[in-house]
Amino acid sequence: MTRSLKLLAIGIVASACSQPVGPPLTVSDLVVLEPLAGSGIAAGYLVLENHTDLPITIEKITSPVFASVEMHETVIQDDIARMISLASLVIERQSAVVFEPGGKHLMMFDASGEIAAGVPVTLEFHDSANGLLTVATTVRSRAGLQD
Amino acid sequence: MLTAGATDFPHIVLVSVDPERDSPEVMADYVGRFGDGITGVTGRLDELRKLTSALGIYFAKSTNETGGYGIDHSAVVIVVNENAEFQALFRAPHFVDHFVTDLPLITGQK
Repeated sequence: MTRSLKLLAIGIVASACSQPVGPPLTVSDLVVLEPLAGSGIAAGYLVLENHTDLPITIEKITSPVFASVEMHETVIQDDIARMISLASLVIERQSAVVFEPGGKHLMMFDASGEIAAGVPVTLEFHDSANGLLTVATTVRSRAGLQD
Repeated sequence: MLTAGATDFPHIVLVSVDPERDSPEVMADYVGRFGDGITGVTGRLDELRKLTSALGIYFAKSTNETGGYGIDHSAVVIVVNENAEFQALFRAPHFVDHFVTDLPLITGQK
């Protein structure tokens, strides 16, 4: 009887480990910076993390506040800096992709209203496998920042 | 940073080769965030070409899939002396330590 209970207990633990826990995709450290004066283009930085055992593809990012949100990456090769537009983004299994100054980043164009510090912004991440992930934040001032 | 032991802090000039986006207003806002004494410069493309050609700087406009554009450009910092003569060039990637160590040597302050 004791042996049966032990086996049963082991079986439950193994089963629990194979079940997904929490959301498949998370967004953290999201920062949306106010546009430089006169530019009208906001920048965004964040960390996207795939918690599943399969790759996740971000097919696009939208926002009710901006006409378009683009994923870009600054690449320096042979002393030439280029900004590449990313049509989609694959996040490998159990890994994270960081959007940060000088690397991958978001550019947000044509806001429907004034984009100043404190204004609420919602971003929608379209994930090929899991649907839509919506995250909200407020625009952050560039004061004191050097990007 | 560089002020330690230095008698003359270099005058920093940031040149934008994207006058379409980087208006004087945008440039002023941007360079103002890095402190005083930094000059932002842009201008007509033909004038920018004269400057960049003289310094060996490359730039070109590239369009992307979404209909927008980017500017490919040399990722270098150039040091010129008071006579507007080429003095040195820092290649990317840029690290603060390199500037702190090398600029005083280049400018003869060490």
